Amino acid sequence: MTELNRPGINIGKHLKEYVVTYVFLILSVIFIIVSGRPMNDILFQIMSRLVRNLFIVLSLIIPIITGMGINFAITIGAMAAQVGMLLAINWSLTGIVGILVSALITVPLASAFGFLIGSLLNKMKGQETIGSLILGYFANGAYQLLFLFVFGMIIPLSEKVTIVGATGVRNTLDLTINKLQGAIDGVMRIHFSTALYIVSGIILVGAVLLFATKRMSSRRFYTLGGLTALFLVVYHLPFVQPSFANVHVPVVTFVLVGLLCLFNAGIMKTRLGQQFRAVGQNRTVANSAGINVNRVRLIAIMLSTVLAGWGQIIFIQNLGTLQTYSAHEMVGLYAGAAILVGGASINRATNGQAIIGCLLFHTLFVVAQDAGTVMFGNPVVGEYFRVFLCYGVIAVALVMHTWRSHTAKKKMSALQA
Amino acid sequence: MKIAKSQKIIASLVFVIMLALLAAGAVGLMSRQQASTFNTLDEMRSYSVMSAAHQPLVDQYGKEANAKAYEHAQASGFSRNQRRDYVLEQEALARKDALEQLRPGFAKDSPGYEQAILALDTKLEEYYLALHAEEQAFLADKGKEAPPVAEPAPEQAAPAEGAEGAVMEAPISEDDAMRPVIDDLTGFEPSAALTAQKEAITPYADALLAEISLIHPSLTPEMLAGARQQVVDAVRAKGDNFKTIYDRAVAAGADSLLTGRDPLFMRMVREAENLLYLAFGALALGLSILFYKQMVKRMGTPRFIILLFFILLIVLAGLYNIAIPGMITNILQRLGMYGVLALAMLPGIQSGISLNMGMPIGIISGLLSTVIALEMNMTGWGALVFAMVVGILMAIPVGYAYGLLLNRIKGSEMTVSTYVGFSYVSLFCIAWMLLPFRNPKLTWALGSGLRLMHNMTGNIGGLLDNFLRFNVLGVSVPTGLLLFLGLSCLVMYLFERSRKGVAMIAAGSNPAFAKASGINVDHMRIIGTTLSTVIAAVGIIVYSQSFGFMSLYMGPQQMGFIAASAILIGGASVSKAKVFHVILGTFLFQGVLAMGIQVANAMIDVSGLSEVMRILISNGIILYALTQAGGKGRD
Repeated sequence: MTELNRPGINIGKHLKEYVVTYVFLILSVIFIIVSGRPMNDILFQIMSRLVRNLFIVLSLIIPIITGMGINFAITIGAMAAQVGMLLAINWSLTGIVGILVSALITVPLASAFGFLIGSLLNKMKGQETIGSLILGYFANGAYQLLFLFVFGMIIPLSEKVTIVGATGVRNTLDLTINKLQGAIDGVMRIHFSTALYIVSGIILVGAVLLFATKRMSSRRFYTLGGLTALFLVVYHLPFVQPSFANVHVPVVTFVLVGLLCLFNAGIMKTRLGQQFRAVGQNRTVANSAGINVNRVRLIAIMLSTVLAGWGQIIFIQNLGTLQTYSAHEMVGLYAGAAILVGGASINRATNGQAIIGCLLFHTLFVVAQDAGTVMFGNPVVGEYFRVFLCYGVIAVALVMHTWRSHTAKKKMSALQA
Repeated sequence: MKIAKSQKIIASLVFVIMLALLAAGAVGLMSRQQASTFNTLDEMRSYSVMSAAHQPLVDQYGKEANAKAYEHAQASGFSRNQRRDYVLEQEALARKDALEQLRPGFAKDSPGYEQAILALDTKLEEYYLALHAEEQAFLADKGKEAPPVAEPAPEQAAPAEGAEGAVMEAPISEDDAMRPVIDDLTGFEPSAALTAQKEAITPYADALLAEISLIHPSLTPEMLAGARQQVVDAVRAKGDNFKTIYDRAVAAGADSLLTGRDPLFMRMVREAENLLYLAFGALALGLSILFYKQMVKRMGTPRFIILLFFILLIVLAGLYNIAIPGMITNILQRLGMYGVLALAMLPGIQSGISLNMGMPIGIISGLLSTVIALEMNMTGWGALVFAMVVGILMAIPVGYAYGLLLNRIKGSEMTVSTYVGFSYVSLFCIAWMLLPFRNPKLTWALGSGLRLMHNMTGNIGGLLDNFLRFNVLGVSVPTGLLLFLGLSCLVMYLFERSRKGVAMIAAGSNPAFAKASGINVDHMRIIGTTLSTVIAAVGIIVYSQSFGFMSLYMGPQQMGFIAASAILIGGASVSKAKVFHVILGTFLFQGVLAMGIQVANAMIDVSGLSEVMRILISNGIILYALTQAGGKGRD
């Protein structure tokens, strides 16, 4: 039985799907007000975090569509990238060259790891979320083994990167000395207002073109146009513009992010993309249709791992220091929570959801600590609150997803009975 | 099941090797008691004593060469580095030459010399026995204090992204706290009788040195005086046995004394224990090759592999001289510690909610009740009983609510419960900071909020462990702990056979059929979940009192995984489990972990390795268990 396409039902459905997003939105607003931090500081922080994390969050999309849930094993892709960065620093490569070499080293490493991860996940179909979680822990142990013992003793490294007086790689690697920090970001920075105008311009022009050639529905055109116009207007309100005074947009990074969005959308239109979707919807049916399910899942994970590795390079070069033993630890968790906040579910994710999720998640992250201090007089509480949010979001998303598919199944079986 | 011909051949070969090793080891051990072996060893010892006595002479040659080389280097105009290298080289060469020249003389002896050694040896033996007895008495008087709190292993993790990491102090790692206590002899004062005994040895030592100078006039009394302590030690050092005497002698070059087959024979006698360990390993290997198919069929590949790995670790532990009694004590303690927590998984699996990864929910109830008991300064058995009872009472409503949640998400319980558990842990991290606890023993010095770890000594630490503790063959058995584990298993076993239990198991194994039989499946699932939560609450109390520390905040997070993999390794699946699986699985898991860490430490002596090995081993086992669970689990 089909649902009647009445507007009322659509809004209800929309709300149910995006309840986490709206809760986060409301919480963010409350916390921004409570924290008492100046707006321009908050916006500056948000922009930095977006720059750092967008790429990684976007890399989660393909495995979700392939039905493998949240790929927490992107931590391993991050580790591969860190090995690349370590070698780049060790060989004293500077600037963009260093970054490119790291990225190059990441590809074979992350692909190999992705292959192993995928093979293992194929053995635990149905438990991928937990499997990738534990795999991340295990890989962390192997990573420590590599960095603490193998690199010091078996594979010699220069003194720039090793702990003085002991074996193993240093805790913190400074990227500023090699001008690796901001190597990608610093290529070109423009002020937020410039970026806003350019992007709005592109969107409006593109929308008009697509609408004129009848390739975009009128509803979409008006929503898009309306939103863009709204943003422009809001920006010019008296108290908004100065808040963005400090915000600069690193062009190259966002171009990369944009390319990844296009890649995500584009690959879905290829045959491989169709296979991803088929496997994601129903493994058995996909198998009967002649798709090699294991191979498709493997490719999805390999892609995701390599992309996450590159994302980690962007992350580190923005931050400027590489915390050797902890930079990769929370990557999977934060990215997973972020994409779920954006409204994605265990088997459905889009670029837009990833971007919105990243924005909301990190906004709350920025203000949670201060809000915690104000509300409870204890900054550590804010700290823990952030972690609670991460896990809570994932738990709620998982519960809701299962609850809904359960009710849907019940409805179907009731109808069939 | 048929055994292939190749299997039989290879197994036979392995068995032959095993028999050879066994024979060699047995002969070796027995020979240690024989007179002829003693004689040979005495000869070797005399040699090493003589070698020790000649050290000052060798040193003198070395010094002369050093001085000559120095002059030569000055005259030839070497740079400082060149001179230093040259001098050292010349000295080393001179010492080597001297040793080679003097060596034949080491074998010289006289009846007087031999007698002097024997007399000195007897006196030393008596002295060391008395010393050992007094030291043991001293340690026993000191009593069982809490193991010295080890410095937290230097956490390599620095806060990520600025101040995002936990601001708390690094928790004490489990291995540090459970490391076998090295006997701490600080403050030991020898008694007057003992000191007198030590003095009485002097004339015997002098007599020996006199005999030596008779045989080798070139050794002046001054030289011999300088070598006195080494000579005494060469006769007998503290804690000597066949192996140490042999090793010392060989280091001095005594095997040149032996001719013919003797060197090999003595070597065999020395390595006797290791040969027996290898024989044991060969036996296991042969049996597993022979009965490979049958064993895999009976216990599944992962358990088979883990069993083999376990045996390998035992052999390695023996070869690396890791004290077996200490290790067995360690494993027994871990068995009791983690056993009840693993037991908590049982009712969950049986009632059909697969692995209860939300176990942290129950664990936190137990932690909360214990903290309340500590807040009120309760100690001893009263505190323990209070903590358990209150913990159970608090766990019941929480478990019930959790069960209601699980009933809504049938089919994905494992994944969802993991994150529900994690969220609950994080929520309580906030709670631990904000709840109104006032006891200064529990809270941070500077502000409010509970500390990360709490020392259990003085309140409930070791209560169950030390109850009726006894020692056998060097193994210290934590009787109370194991009794409690046995009791809990018995209760579960009886429950399985009660009416409610049977209904619960029926609901878990075949919900449709159970429903048709009139069993309320949802209700049974809730019972299973609540029971699991309650057992988890009790389990963490048992764990904390045994471990000696209670860790709040992020501590409970990993417990679910450990318990889950323990029961899976024991042979359970996500839908079927028995009490036996709990015990076997915990034993295997903890056994492999404990031994693996110690063997790894013995094999590669690098600090910090044990922590990494622990992460690798425990997570590796969990992964392995999960792949098995995934295969048989419901989709």
